[in-house]
Amino acid sequence: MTKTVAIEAKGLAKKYITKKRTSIFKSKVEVVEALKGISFNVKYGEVVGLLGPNGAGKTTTIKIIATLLRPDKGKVYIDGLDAFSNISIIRRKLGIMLTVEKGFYPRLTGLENLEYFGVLYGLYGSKLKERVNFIIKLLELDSLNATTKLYEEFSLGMKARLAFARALIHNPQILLLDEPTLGLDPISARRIRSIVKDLAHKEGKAILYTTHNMFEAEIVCDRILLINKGIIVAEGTPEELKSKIPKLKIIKINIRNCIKENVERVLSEILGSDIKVKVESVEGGLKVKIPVSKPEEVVSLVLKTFVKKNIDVINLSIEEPSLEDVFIYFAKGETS
Amino acid sequence: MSSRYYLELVRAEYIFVIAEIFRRKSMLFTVLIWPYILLTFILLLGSAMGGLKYFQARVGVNPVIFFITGGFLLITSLAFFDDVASRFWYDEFIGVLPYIIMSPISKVLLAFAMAIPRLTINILLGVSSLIPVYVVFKGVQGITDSLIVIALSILGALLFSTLAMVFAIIVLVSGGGWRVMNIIRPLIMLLSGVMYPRFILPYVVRLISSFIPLAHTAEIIQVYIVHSEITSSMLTLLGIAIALFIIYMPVSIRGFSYWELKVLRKGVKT
Repeated sequence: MTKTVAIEAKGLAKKYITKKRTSIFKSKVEVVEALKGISFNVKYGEVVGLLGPNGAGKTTTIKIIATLLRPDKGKVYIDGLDAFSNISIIRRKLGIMLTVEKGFYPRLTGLENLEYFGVLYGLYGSKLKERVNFIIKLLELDSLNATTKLYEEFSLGMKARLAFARALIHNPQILLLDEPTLGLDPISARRIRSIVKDLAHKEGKAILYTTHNMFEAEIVCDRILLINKGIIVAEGTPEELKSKIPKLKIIKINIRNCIKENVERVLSEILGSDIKVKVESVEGGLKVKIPVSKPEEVVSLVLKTFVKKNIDVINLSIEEPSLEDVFIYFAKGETS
Repeated sequence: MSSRYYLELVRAEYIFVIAEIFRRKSMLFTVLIWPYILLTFILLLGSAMGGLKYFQARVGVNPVIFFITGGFLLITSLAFFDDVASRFWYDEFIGVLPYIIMSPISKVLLAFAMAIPRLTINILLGVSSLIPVYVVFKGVQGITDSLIVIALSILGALLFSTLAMVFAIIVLVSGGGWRVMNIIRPLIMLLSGVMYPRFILPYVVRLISSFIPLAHTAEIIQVYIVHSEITSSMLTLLGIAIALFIIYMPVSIRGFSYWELKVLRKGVKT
């Protein structure tokens, strides 16, 4: 079944112009090109990760889609509607979580804050109470006393959960989450990741999720957009992205009863000089690392040769490239 | 938007304001003490300027009544300007503004809801500070007079609300925060003539002040506290104030749209 497109960004470009004072009477205009015409879409039922280093344009993208920042060029369509021409309709469809550490009234309790923002989204009376209670249970806010404590007394983990709760208060079909687990303890982070996945896969919500945590992106996101210096440099599922990196699978073999130079010679005879094999001495033997694109063919050849040459193989593993490798590869602009 | 929903919005604002005042002891103390500080200040200043009798002879009313009424009218009328300008500025400071902007609610309606709780608190303080003073100086008649003055002050604050919003938008658009507020606040005080009889103002200032609804309601109240009766000239002034309230309404609505557009161009701070 084809999924419906929830968010469609077409050619988004944004420049920030700032004035920096160089002396009492002089100032210098600085132009930072945050986005250089990016296009992508997010469908219902999927979590799309926007992954990039600091200053890549992730938050700018989220802000534009959330109608909190007007792009210089390009359009955003939410459910097929131009976001900036139908701002009040669009805003009802979106739930947003920006910085985790602030964004609430410090003198109100968690519950009072949630109710306040619920009212802003048009909820009141029994509907508001039901929704607030549901979210409090979902995010286990009551167990942390987050409903009765003043916001200014919250820990970072509690603040994050409350921010996530606010994004869900009006039950939006589209969620924009900007680094929702930044600075959180592992338990809170895991809880948020699990809920995000459930919201997309079980409730069919469309989720745009920015992070620079590779591990998180790999386990949460169905599809990843790698963004660097305002450009989407790669796009695909985590597996597809990994496969885009040439020769990055590494065959790791631990061997014993053999001299380092002999192993190097044997391997260069069968693999040739193009493959840069690393042989290191480790406790109890040697460790061989062979970077290849198709490890299946090489493994069988190497094992056969080792058996012939009486080299004892203790163990063998194939290391897949991590998303971090993909990220570093594209961030450095190696494709060009 | 239903009236039930708007009441819920105002209720949410009450919770916010009450939390801000009652959970901050210094704020609670300031709110309770201000009428008495103002009264002491007025008495000290008045006696230094030439005494009570001189003022009474010129203006026709006891200066204590005049100034405490003026102070109450000013604080009540400034509720809209102060709350709207400082609140959105505060929201930006604590990172709430993006969520306020993103909410589908009309920002004009929200701004009106924001000011109501503080206005109510001011009214309650007015009741506790104005009635005793009026009774001391006017006897039993003081109860009726003070209640009419309170009612007129509320009306004055409401009629000034649309222009107060325009002033608040100037503060927000300028990005100057407290610095700009501290320029506008004394200007309102000077031009509206709430703290002194309008007839002592220079002609040009009086002309400018005629565009401020608060100046007309202030004059109504000043005339009332002298004569203790409602005259036809007061109704004329009320009519002008209502007309100005209506004229400034579309300006304030457009002003909010302009402010939001400006915020979106620059990007809402997170």
